[in-house]
Amino acid sequence: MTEPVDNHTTPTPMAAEPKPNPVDFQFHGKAGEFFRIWIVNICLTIITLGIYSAWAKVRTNQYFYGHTSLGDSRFEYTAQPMQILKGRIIAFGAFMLYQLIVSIMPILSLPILLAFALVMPWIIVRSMMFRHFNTRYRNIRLGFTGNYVDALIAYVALPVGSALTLGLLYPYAACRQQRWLVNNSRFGETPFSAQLKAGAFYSIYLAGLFLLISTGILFFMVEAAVPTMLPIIPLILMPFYYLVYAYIKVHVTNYTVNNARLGDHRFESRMKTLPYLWIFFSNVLAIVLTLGLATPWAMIRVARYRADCTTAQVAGDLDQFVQVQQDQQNALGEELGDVLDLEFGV
Amino acid sequence: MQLEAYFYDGQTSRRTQCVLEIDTAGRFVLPKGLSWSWQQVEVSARIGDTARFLDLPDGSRLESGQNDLIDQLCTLYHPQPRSQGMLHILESRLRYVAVAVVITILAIWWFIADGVPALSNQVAQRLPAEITQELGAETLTFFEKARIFGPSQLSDEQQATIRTRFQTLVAEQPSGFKYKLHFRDAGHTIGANALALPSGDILITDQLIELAEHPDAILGVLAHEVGHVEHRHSLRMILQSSTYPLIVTAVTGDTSLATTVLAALPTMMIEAHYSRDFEEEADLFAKAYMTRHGIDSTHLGRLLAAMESAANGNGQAGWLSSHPATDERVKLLEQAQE
Repeated sequence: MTEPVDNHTTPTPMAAEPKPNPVDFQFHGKAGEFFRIWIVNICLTIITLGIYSAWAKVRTNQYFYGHTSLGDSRFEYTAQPMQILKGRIIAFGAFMLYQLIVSIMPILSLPILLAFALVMPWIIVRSMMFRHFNTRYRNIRLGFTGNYVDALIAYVALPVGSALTLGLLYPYAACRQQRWLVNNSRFGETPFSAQLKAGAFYSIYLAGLFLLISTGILFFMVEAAVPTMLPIIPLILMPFYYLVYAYIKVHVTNYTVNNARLGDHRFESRMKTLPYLWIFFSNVLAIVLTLGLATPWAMIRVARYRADCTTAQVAGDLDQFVQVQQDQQNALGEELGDVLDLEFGV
Repeated sequence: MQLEAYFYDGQTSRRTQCVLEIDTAGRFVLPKGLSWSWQQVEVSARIGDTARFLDLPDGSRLESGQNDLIDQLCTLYHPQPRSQGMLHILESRLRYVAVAVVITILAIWWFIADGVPALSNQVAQRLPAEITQELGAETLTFFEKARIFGPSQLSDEQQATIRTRFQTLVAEQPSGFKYKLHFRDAGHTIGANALALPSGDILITDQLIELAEHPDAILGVLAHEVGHVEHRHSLRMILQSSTYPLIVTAVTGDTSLATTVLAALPTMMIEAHYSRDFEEEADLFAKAYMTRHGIDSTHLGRLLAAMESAANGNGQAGWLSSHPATDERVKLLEQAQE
């Protein structure tokens, strides 16, 4: 049984499957406990002039993974700080080199950015490999098999195309990105799969666009009615723009997770826009009012909400996954992604 | 001692619940009969109260949440590298956490209040004057487009008189700035006002010139603006405010909205503080110039007071809002001259 699930890309009829057994994801982290880790991380990072940040990152991830459980087994983050430090130093060096070249020869900034657009998919691939390789559950590693060309299409070609078509291609690009992320992920030897339809993404983004346009109309109505309120209108309308963000984020996550399969197992995500928006907004408020000291509390709340909304529909039990032999990945990819601020994920 | 754990063989995801009996030599037997000793186990670092993972040499591992017992076993049979244990001690004792809070706040405070401004000053003084030339040109274009100013209504003779004194003033400056004086009408916008662009372009409004009771007061205003340019205040401000978001992101490792808002706070606080310092520096610059040339610097003080009452009169808050209390400035300019 080396390839236990090979042809599950097409769903097998429900009748053939045993009744799934819902197993909840749980998050056990506590704000008070994490605050101590967080503040020591920052303090040591400052004292060591940033070198400790690699250890800080590992400890933070270990805390969040280690406090996330599925069926009483904990997740585990296994990256070594030295790998991450190496990646950070290289990324920092590349960034400084870029700054230096651009300040000496500004004419080169465009060619360099173009070159970066070609390197970025590689960074994304490496970063996903690194992150998955270092995630373990029940002593089985996740894996990632995405390739450069697909990443180039999903993260460079399609976004450029969407800019050229005034965003018309944007939902398709988002769909391709999610498809690429899920369908190239493995748990041990078992691949994840998700039949994600572009149409679903278009309806999510259309609804978002509708919200956005309503907000714009509201803006002009308020401006026309009470012109003296002009300076504070953005403040009033900000929550509405975040509503759009939250709506899209929640629905893309739910749609992706609900369509994801791992062998015979399925997943369920029940996030809701308004609770998510509330967590997001109250987090921002708390962080600003406490001058940043509420950050750990905010991080814990988000992790808890996501875990609380996610369930695995387990067919039978979770004992059947087989480990895969895999080469060591290095941290370079993920750290470049980290420093240069590429946000992506399922 | 008994340790409750889950056992995973590393080949499949099968989970076996077990209770390990650890004997006095640190040996224990796994459910399948393999026997290991604690010395062969690699124990994952303790982070808060997260479960620990015990790596066995054959790739199998144990997962257990009995952290205190595991720590005890480690000290008994398998002294861990000290650093890992130390981190957990730092993170778990309240007094160390309190020390970390204090150090962090002090360090960040020092860096925001002194470090960044000093650094920006260093950088600003080293940047070639050409860079600031470009910044000034952009601002001038913006003013034209926004129609903040109209063409000056002053007579050519009036302009020429002021220009001559301005030339004497800037000829004395050792820096490489190309100073240029612009007369503008701002009756409908900012009223009596003057401003300096980082390039050395200095704008003065007709309304300010009308307000001045003595030509020396106008010279004082011009010297004040030249002081801003010479001390590179705009550049320092730009450098400072663009550094804070970088710091907040670097420290928190987070680029979310919250940190962006957070980064704006020091920018606002420090800008208010530094714009006052900058004004004082420019006032002193003007005073020194006037004193050197035997001009009474109280003329500038009187013009400031007149500007304040003019601004209060028509409800405009322009030049003065970013400036220190006018009283203080007038006093500064009246103080016995060294």
